[in-house]
Amino acid sequence: MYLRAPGLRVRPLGEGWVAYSGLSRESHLLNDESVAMLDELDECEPRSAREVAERLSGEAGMSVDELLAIMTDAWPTLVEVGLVRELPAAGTA
Amino acid sequence: MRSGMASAPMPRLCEVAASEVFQRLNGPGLDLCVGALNVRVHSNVRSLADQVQAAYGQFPASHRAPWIDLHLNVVLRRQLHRWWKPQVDLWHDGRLLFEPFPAEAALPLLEWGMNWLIARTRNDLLLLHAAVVERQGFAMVMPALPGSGKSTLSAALGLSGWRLMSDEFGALDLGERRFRAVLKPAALKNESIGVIRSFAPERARFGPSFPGTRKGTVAHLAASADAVDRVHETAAPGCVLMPRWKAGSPTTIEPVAPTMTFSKLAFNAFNYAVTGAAGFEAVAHISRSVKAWQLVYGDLDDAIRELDVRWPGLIEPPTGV
Repeated sequence: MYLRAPGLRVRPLGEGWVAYSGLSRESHLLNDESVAMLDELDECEPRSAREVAERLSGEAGMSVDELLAIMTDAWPTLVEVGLVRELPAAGTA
Repeated sequence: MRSGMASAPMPRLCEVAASEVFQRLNGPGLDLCVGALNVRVHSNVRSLADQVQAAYGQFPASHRAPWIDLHLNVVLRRQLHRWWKPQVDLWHDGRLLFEPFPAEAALPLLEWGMNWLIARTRNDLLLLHAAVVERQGFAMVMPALPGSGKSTLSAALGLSGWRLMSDEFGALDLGERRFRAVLKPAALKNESIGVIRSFAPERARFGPSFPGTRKGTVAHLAASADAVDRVHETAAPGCVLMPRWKAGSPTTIEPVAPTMTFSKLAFNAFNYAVTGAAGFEAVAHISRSVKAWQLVYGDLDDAIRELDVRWPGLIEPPTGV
């Protein structure tokens, strides 16, 4: 399950995007796909990768499974750079 | 001003006797208003008076600032054999800043110390590592790595009708989003010194040369009287220019993508991480609201001519802003 990082800021810039993480205090250049994923997250209400894919499916004109495959590599990167928080499963911490 | 009470203009440092400058340094302190901050310098080093007088020649000689941001003291070091090789220390608020310097190089120590302190203390401003010049109220910001020729280019522009605001700090007010001056002598190094001396032999006024520093030979180009008199005038962001000197190259000015501009500005800021979200918003704002250009040049005169001619187009707002 994923949450938007607290203090996340995303701004359009030319043909791309820039984002600032209040967690890591770092800035990053993002592509459209990553911004769409962040848009579907909330700071308080956790969502699974499948829920995010379902919310994007109509807009993207792709199946949920196709989107899940595309997003698989992006989630760890977004977590690593502090733009997304991943909630650990209970009992694993 | 009340009628009949015309006040005489304050003399500049270059207009008073060197002994008077030393009396200030060795007494109440010499106040230097560089725009975004006021510095008070104390010193018992006689040679520093001559060096400051040359490098800060157009600054007022007897200005008393209402508020001092940096108190600096350049002190002759007590040592057993000081007549062999005298050394000086730089103190700030009772704290020794660096290893001692040769006494004859007191000015470079003062300048490096001042820059070091500005970069670490003025976190109310976003401090880009950039030269800034102004024309018609708009700032041209030149972020660049050392060795790119930004100081040489900004010095030449400052001698060619542009107002130099800083050769080291692009000081952006985070609230007003306007650039403030941090006007100090431009520290030119090695070949750049001869380039600028040849570029404007009548107008370029240098302090002494200091050979053998960690950065080679350094000489300080004095700011113009106009730049000093207008040190409190801020400037709106006009454009970002990324200069690169390349031997034998024709002058080219090519557009740079906003995402590249963002990276360049953020990477070249002294305190981007410290300013946090405010710094991010400021850099995003500049990258979005002004155009950015890559300047490659091999001939300084030609580059300045091109910038003069193309200036109105360089500061046109990007479409969609």
